[in-house]
Amino acid sequence: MKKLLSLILALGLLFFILSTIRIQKEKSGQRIAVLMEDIAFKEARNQYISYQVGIYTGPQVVIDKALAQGLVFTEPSKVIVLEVKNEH
Amino acid sequence: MNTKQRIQLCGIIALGFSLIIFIRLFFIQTIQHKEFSAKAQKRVYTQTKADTLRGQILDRNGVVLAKSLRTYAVAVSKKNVNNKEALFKALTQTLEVPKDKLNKLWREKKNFFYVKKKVSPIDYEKLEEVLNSQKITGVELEREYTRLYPYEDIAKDMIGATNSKNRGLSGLELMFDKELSQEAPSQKVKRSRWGGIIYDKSLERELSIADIYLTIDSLAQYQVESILKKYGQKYKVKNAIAIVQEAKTGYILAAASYPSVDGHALPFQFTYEPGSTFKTIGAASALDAGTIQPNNIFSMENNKWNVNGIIIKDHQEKPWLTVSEILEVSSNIGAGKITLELGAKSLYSYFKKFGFGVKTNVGFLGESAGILREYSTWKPIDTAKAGYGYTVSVSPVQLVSAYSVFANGGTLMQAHLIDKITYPDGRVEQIAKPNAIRRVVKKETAAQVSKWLENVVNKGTGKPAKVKGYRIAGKTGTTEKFNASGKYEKSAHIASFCGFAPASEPEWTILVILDEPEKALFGSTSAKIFSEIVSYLLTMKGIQPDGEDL
Repeated sequence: MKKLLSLILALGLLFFILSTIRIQKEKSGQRIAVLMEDIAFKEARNQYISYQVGIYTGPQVVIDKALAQGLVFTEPSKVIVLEVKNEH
Repeated sequence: MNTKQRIQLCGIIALGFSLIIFIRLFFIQTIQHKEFSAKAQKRVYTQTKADTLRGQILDRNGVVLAKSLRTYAVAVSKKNVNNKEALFKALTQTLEVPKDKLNKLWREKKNFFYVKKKVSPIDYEKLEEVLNSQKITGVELEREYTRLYPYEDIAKDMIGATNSKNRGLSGLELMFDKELSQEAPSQKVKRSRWGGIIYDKSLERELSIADIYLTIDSLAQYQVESILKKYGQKYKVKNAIAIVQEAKTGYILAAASYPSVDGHALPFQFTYEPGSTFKTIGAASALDAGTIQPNNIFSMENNKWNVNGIIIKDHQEKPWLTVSEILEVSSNIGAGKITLELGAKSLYSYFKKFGFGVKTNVGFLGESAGILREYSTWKPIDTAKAGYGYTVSVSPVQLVSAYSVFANGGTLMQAHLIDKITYPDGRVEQIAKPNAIRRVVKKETAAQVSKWLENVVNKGTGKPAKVKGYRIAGKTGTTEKFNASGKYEKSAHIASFCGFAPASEPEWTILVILDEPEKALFGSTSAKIFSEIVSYLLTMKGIQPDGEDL
């Protein structure tokens, strides 16, 4: 009788541990899913911001702004190129 | 009732209950199995939405020209809305959807309707904040991918378009659809009580989407497109084309069409009779073969040259012309005489060596091979006409590559539009490499032709191509177009200019074509456009002047 009781208790404990693990797994799965969604959203947001930066730094926008401020394209022969020469 | 009977009664009741439960379970699990199984599945599992991920298209410097971003489709489910007024206010404020439109949709739709698609993650976040803080229900958000172009229409004719499912429809998007896209099919996943999904290892996905790098420089491309558009509108052209190739490497730096249509890149797909720009090819071939010398002079036959009964005319005054002068004044008689003297077989052989009649394999879908008939079918008049760019059809990329031969000391380089393909695992497939296809003409021939082309710009029809302080080499071309009845149309022209700069150490070869300009009929107009393009490139790259006219 004592042995049977011990067996039942051991089995009960095993089932309890297994179900706790299972519940924890499900909870972790939910948390990971939420975090992954959050990461994906933040990635999407960052990409969107970099896309907007791309728009604002695009040649059309820059040229329009430059022209609006009275800047003009220089003649190529008037361009002075400065080169940093290695002293060593 | 004694104890034994009571125990028996309890046993019977317990058995009865067990039997009822057993029968009920049997009924549920066998007879109603399908119905309950479906209900359980619905409660426990959900389906993820199928997606197509897509890589980026970038220029040679890594500037993004096309990318797919996650956006959202915002919809309303009328039956789940708890506060219509608050919802409308939230949608109007965060998504800038007019209230009238919302009212109309609400009136017309039974239950579900989309309010706005392609909502950015930033607007989505704002909307979600408002919905959560005011506890507004009834809004449904769907994830989607949208193809976006940070530089708007730049290189759109080459890039092409994608459909609503993020798959390539035209241009490079279609050509590299396999490399660019990755299907993420709908998956069955466990869901939590609150509707979210439960992460599972099966959801992990190995990314296989590639990014495509072009040899294009987006700044140069933008400028070339802008210049082409300006003149395209001014001269009311049917089409305008410009292509810029790096003379030494064969890489395409810019390739523009006006008007620009998704996936229809005329620099690779257009076919036309090149006219006088082809005189350079004929003269170079004859010089290289030794049938002419730079100091040879040709009689202009009083501007009426009879070739087997067909009269070729010219509109210039000199009775005799040198080869250089033939190119400077763009004499058809002179160019015809040069190629007729060379002979059809040799001329055809040189045309082939220059790369005409076959695709350049530049890396664009639907590239044209041009038309080059077998020399055995040519009559003497065909050989003469080929000398000034008739009876032969070429694509812009073929002609610009052929002119690069002179800029490059006589070697034909492989034209490249695709630089490389990069994969998420770090692999890089380098496609563009400076690759010499063959030597076409001797180095001395290339140098002599380059001098002739400089004379065209300094003294001849190419004067508008000049850039102060720089040596420019190039040739104008004006071609009458074929009409529907197979005759040359006097009022429909193609005006073109092909050349390279700086002539002392060529960086770029550039071809400009105006197809059916209403106002300007001559190649000198295209030479002016060439000058503007090359000025910008020289400034952009800070190339020092090599000329004497400073």
